Amino acid sequence: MAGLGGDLLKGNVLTLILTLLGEQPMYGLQLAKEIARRSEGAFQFKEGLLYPSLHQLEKQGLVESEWHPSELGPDRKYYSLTPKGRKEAARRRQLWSAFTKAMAQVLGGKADG
Amino acid sequence: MASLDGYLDRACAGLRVDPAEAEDIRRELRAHLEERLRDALARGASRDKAITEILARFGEPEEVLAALRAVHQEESWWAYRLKGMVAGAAVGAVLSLLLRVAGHGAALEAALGTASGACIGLLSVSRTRLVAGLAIGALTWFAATVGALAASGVGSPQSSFPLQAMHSVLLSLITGGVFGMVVAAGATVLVSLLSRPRSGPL
Repeated sequence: MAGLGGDLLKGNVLTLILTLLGEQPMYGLQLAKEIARRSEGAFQFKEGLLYPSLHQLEKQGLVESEWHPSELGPDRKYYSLTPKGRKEAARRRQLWSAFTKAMAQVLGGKADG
Repeated sequence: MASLDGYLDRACAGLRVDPAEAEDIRRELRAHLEERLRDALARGASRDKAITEILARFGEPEEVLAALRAVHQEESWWAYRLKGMVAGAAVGAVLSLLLRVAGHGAALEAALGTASGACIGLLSVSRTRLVAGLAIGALTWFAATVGALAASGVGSPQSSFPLQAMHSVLLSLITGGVFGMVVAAGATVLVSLLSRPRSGPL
């Protein structure tokens, strides 16, 4: 599948991050790999820009981080949702559902009368 | 050949955070790159080719730095610049006074531009900005020299008339301070225009 990046993705990366972290704590590269895997490579972004986004979420109190040792190499910094982050993730998912529903209705071209 | 350390130097340079936090950020980015490299080498890729591809996927270091700075900006843009201007003025005033007392007015005042520019560059932490600050300071050298020569007609500290000497000292402080601030302001605006974040988080 062709890559989807740019503004279309940019505004929604935080929703993706919060949703994935809602499933389990993850470190940055793990998040990048998981987003690529689930989108079948469609969501493409510079991996280095993932970290400023994570740091921004941490400054907003939506996620917290902790270093953990790795048997395979350097320590990894895992991120997990805070209670505030869980609420924000739920709010963003609801917004996204409403948005995609409205988009589908408009693009579907069904008009009353 | 690209190297992870060289990349990290560029991506993390100029972060205005405390050293421990800067080290934490660098450590996190390095862990990402090293794990990518380990994966690539395990797949049989050559080291050089793998590093090139990994860094391309990670993004331009300047882009990553700009995004990090957008998040980790500890001071407001203007507060940060104002601090630089005040420091530039202080350096300018002190140097001007010392030079005039030492009887090397023109030469000493000429150094103000360079000192003020360097001061701004140092405050800006980044090596790039330091070079820019020094360059701007050096460019003011002629202006400083001309200004100092023009002011040399006023009395000197060696004058037998105390009031005249005091006037000269005060004048040195004031002109040096103003000059330092002007140079600092100019350097500040220019280097800031060159280095303001052009990227943000995703």
